[in-house]
Amino acid sequence: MSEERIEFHIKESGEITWSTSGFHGDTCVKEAERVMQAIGGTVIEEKKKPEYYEDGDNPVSVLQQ
Amino acid sequence: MSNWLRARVSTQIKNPKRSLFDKACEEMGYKPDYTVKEVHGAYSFDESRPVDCVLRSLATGKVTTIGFHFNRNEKKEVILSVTGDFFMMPYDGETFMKRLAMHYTHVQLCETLEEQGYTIEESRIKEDEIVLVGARMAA
Repeated sequence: MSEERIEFHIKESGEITWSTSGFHGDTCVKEAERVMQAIGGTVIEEKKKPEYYEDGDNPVSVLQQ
Repeated sequence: MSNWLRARVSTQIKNPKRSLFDKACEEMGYKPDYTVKEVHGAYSFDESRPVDCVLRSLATGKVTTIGFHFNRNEKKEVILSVTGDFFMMPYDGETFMKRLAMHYTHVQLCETLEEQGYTIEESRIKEDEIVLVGARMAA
């Protein structure tokens, strides 16, 4: 079993940055939606970390002939 | 899969949950006292304003010159506002409320993470930023 980690930086200005690691599939995106809903936050910007593209659980696969 | 995102929350506290509001105040070194219904000036005890609660210092137990109102707006939301004398305080009322909102978001996030099965591994409070790390074993 792998470990899922979330790190938040909460600023006095109301800005929050969130960084995750160890998630599989799109669970980190769903987790972000759930947490933001709980605290009434609005997402301003989102990026996928390099691990996103290395993850074998990516639901999109391309077959090359 | 991992991601990074930037979000914004309001620096105005709406519909505060009493338990979280109390915890946020405690992180700042205060305890709300709901039995005291007026706040006095720092140097003029005769000058007072009605409030819904006042803050006591956790260090001394003394009532401070900071109080709060829980008022409903036209949308029926409860809006937290501060009434106080910030003379000789390290911050003004606006900065105080922004900092309180930051602590309120922190305790909200701690509660949400724990509900989702995370363990709080780190909770580092700096003056104008809080770092929070949660971890759990993947299902």
